[in-house]
Amino acid sequence: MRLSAQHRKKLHKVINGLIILLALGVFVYFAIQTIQKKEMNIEMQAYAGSAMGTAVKKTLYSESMEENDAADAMIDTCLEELENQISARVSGSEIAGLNRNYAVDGINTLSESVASYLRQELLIWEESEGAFSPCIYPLSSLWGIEEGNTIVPNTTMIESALIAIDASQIEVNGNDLILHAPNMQLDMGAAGKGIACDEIRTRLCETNIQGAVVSVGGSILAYGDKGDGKEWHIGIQNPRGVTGDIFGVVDTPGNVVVSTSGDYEKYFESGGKRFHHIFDPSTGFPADNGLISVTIICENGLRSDAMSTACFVMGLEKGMAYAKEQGVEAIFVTQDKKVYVTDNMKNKFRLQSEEYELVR
Amino acid sequence: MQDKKLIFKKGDYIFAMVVVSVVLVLFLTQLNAKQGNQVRVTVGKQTETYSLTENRRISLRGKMDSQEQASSDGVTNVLVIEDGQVYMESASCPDQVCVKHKPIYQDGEMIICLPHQVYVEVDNDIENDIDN
Repeated sequence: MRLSAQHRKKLHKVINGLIILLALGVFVYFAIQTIQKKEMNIEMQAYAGSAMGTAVKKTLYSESMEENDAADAMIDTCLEELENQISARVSGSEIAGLNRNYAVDGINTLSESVASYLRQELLIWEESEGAFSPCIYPLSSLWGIEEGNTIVPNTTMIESALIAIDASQIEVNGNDLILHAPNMQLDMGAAGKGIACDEIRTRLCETNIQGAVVSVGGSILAYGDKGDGKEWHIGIQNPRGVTGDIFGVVDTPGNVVVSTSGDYEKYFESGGKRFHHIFDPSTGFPADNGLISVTIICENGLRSDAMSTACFVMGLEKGMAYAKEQGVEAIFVTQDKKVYVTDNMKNKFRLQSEEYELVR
Repeated sequence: MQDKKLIFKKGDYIFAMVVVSVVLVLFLTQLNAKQGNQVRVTVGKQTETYSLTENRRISLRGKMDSQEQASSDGVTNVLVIEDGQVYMESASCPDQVCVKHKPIYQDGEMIICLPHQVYVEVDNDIENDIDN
């Protein structure tokens, strides 16, 4: 390579200049990145676990991992305490003790929180004209679907269970509970996951957690935000897909509980028919009205969970009317894969599966 | 020979090397900061981490009830990492919920096997649009 001294000098200058530019560029790039990270100094961590007989998933956002870990443990404690209070399946719980030992027409004093849950559930029982029942346990344990039973019980047994699940025999005055019939069994399970979301939210408010999404089975709590003020994207399970396969997304700020009830969660098939775990308290059989999934979105977790069950039992028409009357948001999915939503949901729900059709 | 004089002086080389090494160090720390592309597998209270980029089949020994204990070799779940995705190939539980779960690969996605207390989580830089 032959270069004159002058050329060499020029080339030298150019290359030197280029190196300096490159160095500056790299420096500025990393400086900006570091500053950006400092600005949104939010740590995210996801936690998996189980409680109340169901899978629990938490995604927590705060300024430090320590805070996330502490909130994770706090939520686990909260769920354990709640289960030991309201689960009909935990023999030492307040509800199980009551179910075992109550005297017909006798006064039982409930803890303040259980009395409050029960009052709210009775209200929903009344509003839904019995489609939701706070005392369905004798019927659900007769079927035993959650325990893995795969045989349809005989009609006589179902009829006798129907007598034991009549919620009109429940009377709550303040914290006093009176049951006017024998063999009744309260069961907070149908709204238990929603109650759990409410309790978790109350406790999260006392922490420095910036945002959280906590799924307790079919109820999902959206709380706060990720530090960016943006909405959460909550995926809704495809009722005819594999677990984790979502068919649509709800965009929502962090102040709601999203509860879904469907015929796909726990069921068995017999004679070509699907027998799932959501019972119609008026027939004693799994609800069979063409719906395969109902999602209810509102602030109150108990209401969201209980109403998703109630609307599933009521069917599309009555259920939709009930949801509108209560001013909650809803997504109904029918057997023929049509999706019906409340008016406000029309621009907050994004269908993501071509199998389904959004009815407008 | 005279024409083969170096275009750069010694100082230039040192300068260039300093720049290159600074860039390299920054790049490496940046890479390290992203702890992504991992699968965290928790069985009971114990957590193991695997790379999402290496294909492998993992036998897990989760919690078993007494009936299962009598009839098995202790393996409750078989997890597969394949082409950057993770799925449960088999499980000895009756509900098979984890086996029916779609393969996961996005950040924060999980497969949970409730009866055996097996939790599988993805830590990845493939962002997930879904928050739950």
